Amino acid sequence: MFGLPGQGMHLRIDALSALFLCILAPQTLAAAIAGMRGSVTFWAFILGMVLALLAADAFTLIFGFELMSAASWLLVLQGDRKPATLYAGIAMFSAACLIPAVFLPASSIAFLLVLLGTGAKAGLAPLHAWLPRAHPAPPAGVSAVMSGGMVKVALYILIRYGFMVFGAAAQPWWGALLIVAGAASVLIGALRSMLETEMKTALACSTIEHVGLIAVGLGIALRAKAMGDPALAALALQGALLCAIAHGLFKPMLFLGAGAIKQATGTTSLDWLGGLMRGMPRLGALMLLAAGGMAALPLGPGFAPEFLLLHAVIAAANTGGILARIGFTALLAGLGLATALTLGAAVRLIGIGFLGRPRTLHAAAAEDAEPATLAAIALLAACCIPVSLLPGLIVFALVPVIGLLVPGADPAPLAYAPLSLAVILLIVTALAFLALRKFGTRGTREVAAWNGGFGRPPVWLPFGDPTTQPTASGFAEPIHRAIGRFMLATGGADPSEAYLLLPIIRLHSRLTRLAEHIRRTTIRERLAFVFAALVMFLLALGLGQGG
Amino acid sequence: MTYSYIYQISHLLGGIILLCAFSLLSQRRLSAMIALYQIEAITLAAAALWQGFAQNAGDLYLTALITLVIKAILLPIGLRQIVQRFNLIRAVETAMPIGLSMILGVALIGIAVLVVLPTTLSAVSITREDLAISLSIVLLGFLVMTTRRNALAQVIGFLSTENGLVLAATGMPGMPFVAELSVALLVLLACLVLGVFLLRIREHFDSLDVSGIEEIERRGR
Amino acid sequence: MLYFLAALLATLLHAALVFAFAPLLLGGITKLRARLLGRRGPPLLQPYRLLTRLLRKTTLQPETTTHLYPVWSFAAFAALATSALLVPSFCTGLLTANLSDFITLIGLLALARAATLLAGLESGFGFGGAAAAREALFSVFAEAALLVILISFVLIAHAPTVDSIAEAFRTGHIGISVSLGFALAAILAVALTEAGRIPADNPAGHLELAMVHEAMLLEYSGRYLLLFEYAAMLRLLVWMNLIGTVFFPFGMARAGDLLSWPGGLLLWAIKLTAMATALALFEVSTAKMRVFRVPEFLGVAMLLGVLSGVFLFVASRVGG
Repeated sequence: MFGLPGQGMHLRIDALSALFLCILAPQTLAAAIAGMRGSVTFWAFILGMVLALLAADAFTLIFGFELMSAASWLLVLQGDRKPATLYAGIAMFSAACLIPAVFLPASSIAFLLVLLGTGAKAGLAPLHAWLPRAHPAPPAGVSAVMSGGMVKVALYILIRYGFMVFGAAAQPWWGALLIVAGAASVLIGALRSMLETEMKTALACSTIEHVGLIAVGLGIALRAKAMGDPALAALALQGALLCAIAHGLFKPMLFLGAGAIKQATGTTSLDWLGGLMRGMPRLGALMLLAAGGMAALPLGPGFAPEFLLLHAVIAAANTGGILARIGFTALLAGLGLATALTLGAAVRLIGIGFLGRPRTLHAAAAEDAEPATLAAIALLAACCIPVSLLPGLIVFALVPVIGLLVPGADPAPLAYAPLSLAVILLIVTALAFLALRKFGTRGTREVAAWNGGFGRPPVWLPFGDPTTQPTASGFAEPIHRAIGRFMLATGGADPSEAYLLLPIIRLHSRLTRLAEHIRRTTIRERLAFVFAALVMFLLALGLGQGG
Repeated sequence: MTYSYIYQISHLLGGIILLCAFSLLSQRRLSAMIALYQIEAITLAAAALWQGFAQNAGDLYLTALITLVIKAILLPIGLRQIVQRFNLIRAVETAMPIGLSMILGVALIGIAVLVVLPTTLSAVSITREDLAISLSIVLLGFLVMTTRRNALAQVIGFLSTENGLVLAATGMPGMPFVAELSVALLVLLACLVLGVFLLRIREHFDSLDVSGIEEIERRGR
Repeated sequence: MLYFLAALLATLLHAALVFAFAPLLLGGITKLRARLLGRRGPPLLQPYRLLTRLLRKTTLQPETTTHLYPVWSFAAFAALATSALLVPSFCTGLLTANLSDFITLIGLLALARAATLLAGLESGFGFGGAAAAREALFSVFAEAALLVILISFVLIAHAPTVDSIAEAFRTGHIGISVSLGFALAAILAVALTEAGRIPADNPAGHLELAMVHEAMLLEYSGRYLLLFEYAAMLRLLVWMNLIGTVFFPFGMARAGDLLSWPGGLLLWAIKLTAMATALALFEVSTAKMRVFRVPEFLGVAMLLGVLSGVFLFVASRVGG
């Protein structure tokens, strides 16, 4: 009925598709509960993703992919017109790379095309400049599924083609290329999420970083598989897939929370928020949990993938020559840098947005989010609990997927036991609490803050002078001075925008001017052009025959 | 066990010299650079002493003595006197950011390791690590010379390179003593010449900052 | 069964020692610093007096803070107390040995750091925010350096937990190794920064503009400040235990072997005294660095870690 004439549409579920469907399901449910259920375009978007995941033939895959792109483009357009053109351009580029690739036989060219196509869609460096512009534009539910789901679908296509369809022809440098692209995404994503002052843009940059982490894991696994080391490949794949699962849970929580903040205060710029925890305690608590996941803190959903990935990189540093050793050591340094930057970004999000004093009246008057949004975020938080506290079980459930991708691997069980850690933490906290209760003075008195000895603020500023507060850009300023000036282009612009997008835009305007110039040529010039072409052909013919 | 002990201590001493050479890249003050050079020279004397004990070569003891007297005592005194006479106690400007020069330093050490490991496969395996360390010190000394704008800092970089060469020489069994003496005298001569040269530059331009000369050279082209 | 009982006893003894002697370590370092400068210095047990004094004080909570004000202090204390339980002090083979993966340790330290950063941002006034920004800057480079140093340990010891690294370094004939020397220099730099000692931060200073760790706790008082201060003492002890266990594991006791415990305890006391003396000497002879020199300092540590990995490669290929 559907599909190519004579072939129809084939759908199939295997372990990998099932895993990514499970990643997609909670976010879709949450976004639907949070208010997107009435939008037809949203359901078309979800349908496209599901088709791409379930596809058993190339046509269905491309059809689902394009439906996903088109529907999300419409949603971005509804939100904000400015990034829509850029988004459409990237979607077309990605399709232009993927469509020939799925029909080519397994070879390096095909893998490069798949990598370019899916990398552009997922936001791998250097094709990531569109993501922080396009993802914040649509409503929060759509942003959540775009960041949490759409990039995963792109990575799913990369995994399927890299490991399964092209599996036999895989070469180590494919994996190395993926690692390099992933490392660049991790660094630039983490740095920008620390430096951006608008909440949704910062969250989108954090998506770039996590996509980079997954790409690093996939790259190590691909390289290890090509070099004949299934154990390392399994370890790296565990890390990458667990990162995909965890990111698909905490990132939609953060985006939905940002949407709720926008509804309550009218803005998502961190410099206009502050003290939201007083007016929105439940949303604040949920955002704190989600930010803990983003920062890869122990007992959070984001720690187990980080644990596995770092161990995979350390194990990979032992393979190969001196260049590989230095390369993987540098990669580990970069990952450490990015982890600490993400921690800072998460702390900044909560610390400046939710703690402290309100910076505007809107922030002071914010009321808690609607019950629907809270229910959606709480649903995702409930799904986070098994990922945080029982990652060993999840890793065990991933065994069939890994068996599909790296045949012959025997994945080792997880060496990180959050339940035991949680027990020790609880015992220590309980002991401290009881000791303080028994031996310490009880009671708390509310006073004006000491603030280095400054007096009370005047009466007409009930929360004190709003300008004597740390701002989001102020918090990020030391890092901007130490790292940002080296990694970003002039003016704090993303290097991908300055060195990739802008030259392409300039080339495009130059080509347009050339085309206009050609269009306005006189008849004499056109005759001359045809005559010159004829002479060139004759010359080529003569030289080919005689020379 | 004692066999490997000998080589481990010589590698440790070479590692200390490498650490000093690497720290030279991150220093901004001349007095700190001279102090690091002094530590390098003392460790080099200790390394020569240890090699003399390990290889049972008496001339290496003499080398150690010469290194100690000339490079560890006389040269730093001379350099400090130059600093004082020309009032050079201010900070040294660098031609590239310190972080970048340190990353280049690590890259150079990686190149040294990459070069040394395959080419000496036929030689005794233990001397390979010594050779890698010595080559790294030489390259790092050159990097210091090319990233500092102050003439005296460039001289210290050259001296650090010299230390690396002497370390390689003492590590090889059978290196003639005459070569060592001539190399040491060459260093002394070079420093005297450079001292006179510096005096002339100072008299002409009233400072030893050669960045001005770079400007003139660039404009003249 | 007997082994389990011995390990349980060892763990309880380790916990008691660590929690009891962390303030004494800080008191000893402060006293030694003062003596080296020619002063008499505060009494050795002054930190204990500080803690009991804070117990008696009412907590003064600023009006502009949220209801999560006490949470950060408990979180920081719990994270650092857990890491203190994970890092072995006088014997290996504790009950928590399997949990003491180095990356879990780094994660717990990051949790403590996140709680302190959020505590600094709680009241919404300038000093806490500026200090939190600086601490975030230092942590970026410190974590990168620490992970790079970890590669050398794991590749030599073929195991990722602190406990098994100690076992491997004790029983294997590692000898004096260039790469471990570089790793020691690097981890000392990271430990000084993370524990908030000179040259990264002056623990005895009271200028708010120059403080990093204390400025984040300016608005805390009473029992919550007690938790933070005790957590800081535990942090110093954790780092000293870590360096002592990894680099000087010779003679550490084994949990199952009761006869080796007295030797292990004596060695632990000697190691802590030596490290405290070295720290006091170093603090007295150097000045605190400018804030933007600390990333360079940690950058040197990171590059030394890379060098240690490179020389490990050379040594393993050479077979030496």
